[in-house]
Amino acid sequence: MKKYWIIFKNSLQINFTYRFNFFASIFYEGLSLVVFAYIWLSIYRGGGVMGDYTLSGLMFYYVVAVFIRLLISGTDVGWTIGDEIREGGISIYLVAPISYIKMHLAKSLGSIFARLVVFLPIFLYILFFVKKDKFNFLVMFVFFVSLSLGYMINFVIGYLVGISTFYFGFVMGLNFTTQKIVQFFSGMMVPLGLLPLFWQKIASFLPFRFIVYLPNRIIANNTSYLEIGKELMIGLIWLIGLLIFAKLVHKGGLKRFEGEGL
Amino acid sequence: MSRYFNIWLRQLKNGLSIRMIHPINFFVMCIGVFLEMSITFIFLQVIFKFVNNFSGWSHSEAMIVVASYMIIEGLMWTTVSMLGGLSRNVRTGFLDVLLVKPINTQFIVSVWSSDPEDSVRLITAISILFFNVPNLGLSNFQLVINGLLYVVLMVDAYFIVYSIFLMVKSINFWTVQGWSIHMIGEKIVQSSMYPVDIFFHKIVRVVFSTIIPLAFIATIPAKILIHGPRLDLAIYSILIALIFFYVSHKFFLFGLKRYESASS
Repeated sequence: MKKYWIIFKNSLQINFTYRFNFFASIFYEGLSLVVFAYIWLSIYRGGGVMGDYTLSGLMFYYVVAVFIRLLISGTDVGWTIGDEIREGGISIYLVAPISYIKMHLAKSLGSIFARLVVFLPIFLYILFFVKKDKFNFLVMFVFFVSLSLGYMINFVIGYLVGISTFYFGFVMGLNFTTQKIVQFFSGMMVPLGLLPLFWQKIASFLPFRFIVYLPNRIIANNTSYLEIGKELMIGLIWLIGLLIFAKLVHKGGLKRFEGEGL
Repeated sequence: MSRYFNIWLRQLKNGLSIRMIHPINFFVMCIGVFLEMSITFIFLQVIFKFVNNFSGWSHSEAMIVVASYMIIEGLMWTTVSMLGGLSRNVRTGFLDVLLVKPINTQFIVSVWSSDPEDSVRLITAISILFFNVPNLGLSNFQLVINGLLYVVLMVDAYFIVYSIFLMVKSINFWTVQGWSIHMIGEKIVQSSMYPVDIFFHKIVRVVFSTIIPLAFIATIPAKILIHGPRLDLAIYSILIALIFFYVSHKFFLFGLKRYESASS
């Protein structure tokens, strides 16, 4: 465990060293939020209503979505692992007494933690300011549980894309395409409840909704605990299934690995 | 001039050759680009599921704005890779090699890399345009006149976006780090994807028409195509493109003086 703790701390230090990325991400995600805010404001000013969402509800949805995106966009696991396999860098870890997936998880957690230190106070401030009447510690706790679940699912998907390099040689396209699919079906771009029924049905069969949509529903505090519990269980089953699949893909991939790039 | 054109063509060919080393990856990239575009169109679909007009724009008109933005975006990726060559060469120190070449540095840095898979953007956006223009009810004569002016404004828009990216990416001379800088440029330019009429506060609209001329990237070309020629807007567009191109060139040269050849 100690070795992963050191990797985690190193990742944390690296993230704090390159502070420019933090401020830049606040700027560009803030800009993106402003554009979305204007889109919805202009619709509601014109008398339109987006489904069951009030204007403030929709705005809050995007604040939460941006917060989640700020957290998970710190590391591109698929790209990093893909590069390591393609350039042969993975060989160092194959002979070391270390789990490859745990090492990358520790790195990724370091990045997330650094981002949490910066963005969580801002998020909590907004949360308390906007949802003062509905601010509830139990909801907050369940929100962070679902956030962790969503983060883990996103991580394993990225990991799977990365280790696909064993089979495809170069996964830049797969990584890009997967990111777009995640972006859409996680509810990052538009709440899944607003999508046409066809897309909603597809989204309900996929694990991406646990990344943004479910945490958002939880913090909006208008879903029963029974339903949340059911959703979290399904998410957990997805996570376990993805982890097993990743293990099989990794094992099969290692048999094909030829140390190219060494 | 023909030497520059040949170099640019050679770089485009190189870009395609690099991508085709992994043909499956190239085709998956094309699918990814198409998906990215589709998401935006579905987003518009969602909006028009609940409202009939979007800040005064009908569905077809809004689609023309988005398609216009995507044409510019597609051109920027396909021809100069959103100036990815600039940040990469600054970060790796390879700019040293380019500086001593007997060619304009800004030019070679700009055309250094290209993303041929983004031609999918161009094809899809032009198709969307062709599907939606007939819904505008324009006569053939109007279509030719509006269309010609639209092309002129789109050329201006290309240079405006190029200039914005050149200025933003020149910040790399100070920061060296590339990805965040790219995201800043991308998000600024992406703000022009939807009609600028959504920015109903006058001050915001003035900023997006002058300081960061987002209005001239997609909304104004689309307006000209839909509603007919406006000489004042056409002149403004050309002037803004020229001013931005000049200022960005000066800023690039200013940044270049700060280049410290890190990592070389």
